[in-house]
Amino acid sequence: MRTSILQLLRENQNEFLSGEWLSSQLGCSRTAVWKHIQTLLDRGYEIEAVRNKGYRLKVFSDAFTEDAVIGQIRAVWPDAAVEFYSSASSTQTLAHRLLETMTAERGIVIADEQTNGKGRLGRSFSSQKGEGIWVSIVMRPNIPVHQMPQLTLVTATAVCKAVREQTGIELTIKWPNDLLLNGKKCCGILTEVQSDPDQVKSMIVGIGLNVNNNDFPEWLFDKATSLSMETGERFDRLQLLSALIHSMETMFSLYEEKGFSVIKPIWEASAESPGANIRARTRERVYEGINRGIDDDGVLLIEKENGEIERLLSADIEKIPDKS
Amino acid sequence: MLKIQEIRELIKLIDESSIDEFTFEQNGSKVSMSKNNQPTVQAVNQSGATPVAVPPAPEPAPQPPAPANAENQAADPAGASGTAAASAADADLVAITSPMVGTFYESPSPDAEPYVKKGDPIQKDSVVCIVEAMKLMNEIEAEVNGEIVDILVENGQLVEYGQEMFTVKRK
Repeated sequence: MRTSILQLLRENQNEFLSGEWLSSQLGCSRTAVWKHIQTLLDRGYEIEAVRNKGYRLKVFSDAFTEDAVIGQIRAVWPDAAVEFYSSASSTQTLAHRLLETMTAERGIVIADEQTNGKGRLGRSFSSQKGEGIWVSIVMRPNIPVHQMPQLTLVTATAVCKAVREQTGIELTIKWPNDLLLNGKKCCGILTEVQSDPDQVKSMIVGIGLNVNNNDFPEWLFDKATSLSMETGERFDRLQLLSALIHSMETMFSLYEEKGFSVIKPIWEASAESPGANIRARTRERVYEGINRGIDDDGVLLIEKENGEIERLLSADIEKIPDKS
Repeated sequence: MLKIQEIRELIKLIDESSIDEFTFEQNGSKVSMSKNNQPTVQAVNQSGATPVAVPPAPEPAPQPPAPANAENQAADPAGASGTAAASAADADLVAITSPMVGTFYESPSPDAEPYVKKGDPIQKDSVVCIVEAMKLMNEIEAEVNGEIVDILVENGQLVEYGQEMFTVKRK
């Protein structure tokens, strides 16, 4: 409901919308509309309310300054070690350095621009100035070592939750942790873990969320997108960051306390194309079959042509286009 | 290749029996089991298909058991005993084992130099390789000061829980 109100305000950004009109559009009382507007105000949306005219969403502003960013982070994690850079080579590399001396339970390295963003296995990650959230989060999850791989799925659910709450946009998850919007990649997650044989010592999660990007290098054009490119709107990165950190805390607490069984249905609710034909490339071979989702450990299940189910722990998957 | 359910049943039967070691071969697939304090189970498919791993017990033994790797098993049907004999022969030789099932990577990226080579000196906190599962990159630290004597797995190979990846001469 709240996201629907926000949606209507966004679609009519320069106009006042009366409480009466909003209530008829949404099928609720004017009091309910008023309450939802109050919640949006609490969350930092600048909504003008004028008697006899109604509500209007004020012009977008995105003040992603060091003070504002650190303020947002400390509001959730008062004791976190925080580093902000207006430009950095790679937040992930800097987070590794931060971890060497860090005593806090949580750490964050965030940059307004990455000049050498790091993807998995040394791949580069496109991250232009002012357009996205490029952040590396350091945590020390208290979980048994054999559960470690599930951390990637937990992070994916946390990002989906934050984006949904702030923007109303539903990202989908391509196993295990690529986040897509209309089938194109909108957010990349790189999870690196330091562990002993018997315990997880620390985890550095790099999250690159394309927010207000309007353009990508040509070679990425049919693969990558941003929240803005798919909706035609611009979003407040500061609010998104705040929601992201909240959501990471919530999902990881839940996971540490209750285990993967509670994360699994949340992950599945956002999962991309269950039941679709997919191609899964492992290092040795390529599997084609039906996406049968994940098992209780988060491992990908693919049903091969002979009806057998294969469990895949390491694979890159892609959807096979319909033959029509 | 045996199905997971069949392997599960085998484990159960062996577990309830007084048999300490068990090996079963069929069509190029081999399953070896041996009972230590905690039973260690490993399935190796010699035809090259994806090995099946039985997830570790929720509470692993304080000293994780080190099952023999595929090479040892091929050479020595007694499996784990081969490793034990080698360790007894040279107490300074220790293994770095994988803490999880996943893909072994020798370097941080395909075009980068390997983290370590044979003969390299290593410190406790030296990263020696990455084991990847479900896109989680686990940077494995040596946990021991010494020198890399042998690398037992190949880049891109699937490693099992507890599988030996490096032999290190302790210093």
